[in-house]
Amino acid sequence: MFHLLYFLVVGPVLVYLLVKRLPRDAALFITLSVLAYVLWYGIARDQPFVITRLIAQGISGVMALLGAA
Amino acid sequence: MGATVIRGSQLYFLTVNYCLGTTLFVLIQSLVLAGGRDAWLIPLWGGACGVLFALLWIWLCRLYPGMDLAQISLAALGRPFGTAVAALYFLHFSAVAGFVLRNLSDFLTGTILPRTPGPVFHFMFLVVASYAAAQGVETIARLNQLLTPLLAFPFWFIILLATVNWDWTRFVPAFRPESLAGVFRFNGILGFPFLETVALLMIFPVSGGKKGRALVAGIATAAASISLTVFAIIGSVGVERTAKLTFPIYSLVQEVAVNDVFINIQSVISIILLTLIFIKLQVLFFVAFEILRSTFRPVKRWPLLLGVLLVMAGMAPSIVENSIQNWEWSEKYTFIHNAIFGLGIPALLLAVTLIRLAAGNRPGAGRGARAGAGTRSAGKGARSGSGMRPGTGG
Repeated sequence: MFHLLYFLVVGPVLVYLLVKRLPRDAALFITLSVLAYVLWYGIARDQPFVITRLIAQGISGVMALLGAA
Repeated sequence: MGATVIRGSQLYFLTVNYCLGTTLFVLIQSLVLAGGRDAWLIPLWGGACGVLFALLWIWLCRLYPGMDLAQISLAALGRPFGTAVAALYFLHFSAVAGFVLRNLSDFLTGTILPRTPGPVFHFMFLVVASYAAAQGVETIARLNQLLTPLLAFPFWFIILLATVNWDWTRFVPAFRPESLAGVFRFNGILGFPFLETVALLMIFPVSGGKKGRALVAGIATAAASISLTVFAIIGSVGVERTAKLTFPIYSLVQEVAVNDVFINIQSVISIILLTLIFIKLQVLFFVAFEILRSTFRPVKRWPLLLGVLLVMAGMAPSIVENSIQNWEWSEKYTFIHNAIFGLGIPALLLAVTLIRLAAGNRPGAGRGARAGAGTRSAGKGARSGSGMRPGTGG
């Protein structure tokens, strides 16, 4: 259901951009849509990606590397 | 960009309200827990550091007159790296907007509208912010200028009313060494809100007048306002109670009742705080939108607005898991994360520019950096190579 709803929002816009022959606009919109899809897919499953946790893991990893060096 | 669109005074008001934004909502409790009776000192030293950060940004902007942050990245680092940096900034500002939206919905569901799902608030606010972004920075700045007196006077009037329970002994003992150590150990204040102000570098080039002074004065005013608010809360409520309240300003004002004339003043403070948050969201939405527009130069604007809206709406529920994880993030990572974008990348851009200037090269003269001087004329025609080299003077 989520996939259908999301496609109903994004699909017509993408078709419009492709029909109007705006490849750069379409590529940018697809990139943003895919990013938003990933986020919303997690929310729809009731298991959202916790962005700050991912960033914190990245920062901790870099600091551990720097500490080891 | 490049043409003057807003006045220096408008940039000043934008800076003040952007800094205050969610700060008055979510930071007061953390400040009081960290600094105790001397917590009002934290915004003052944080603001002093914020002014130093702003001087760094102003120096960078003066090397590239009329160019925003995304264009500076392209000019200094070339097309591939510049695009990567611009994309990182887009993600960063989207994440900050996610925080703002999450704070907003947490407040509304926790106090006024407990049955409404958070995403409803997120979409409602984002739709209005996207409309404002489509109208341009001039509209945002004028709206902000119009709203500022309507926000400032009632806010300080209500805070003044709330001081009926004032007690000076709540500040005693003051300036004890262990308390002062807590004051200067709390580096989260640097990350939020002062390093987040780097977003205003997307608006800085279109400001007229003494814009550097406006940015610095805005940060200083915001720091003084936060400090004064914390001072008023400690004097009226006390450290022990404030440390237990989720929204100390709201709780403080909730208890104010002057005879039967002024009751339910908390609804006024709610509107003020929501408007401040909306101004911050509006700026972040515009900045994220302009970064993509400035970097990729799409022909149509509305699909981009829709894309940014979907991303930010998805960020808000995903940004933090719960208040405990949010607390951990604020304690450990806020400063580091914001320092990467507020200090690290601007310092890198500045270093690259100075090295190239010393070597006699003109950053941006190569084939990679053709962002041009016109985000307003987005599209294929916006590739002006002129104005890409750094200036040498102020």
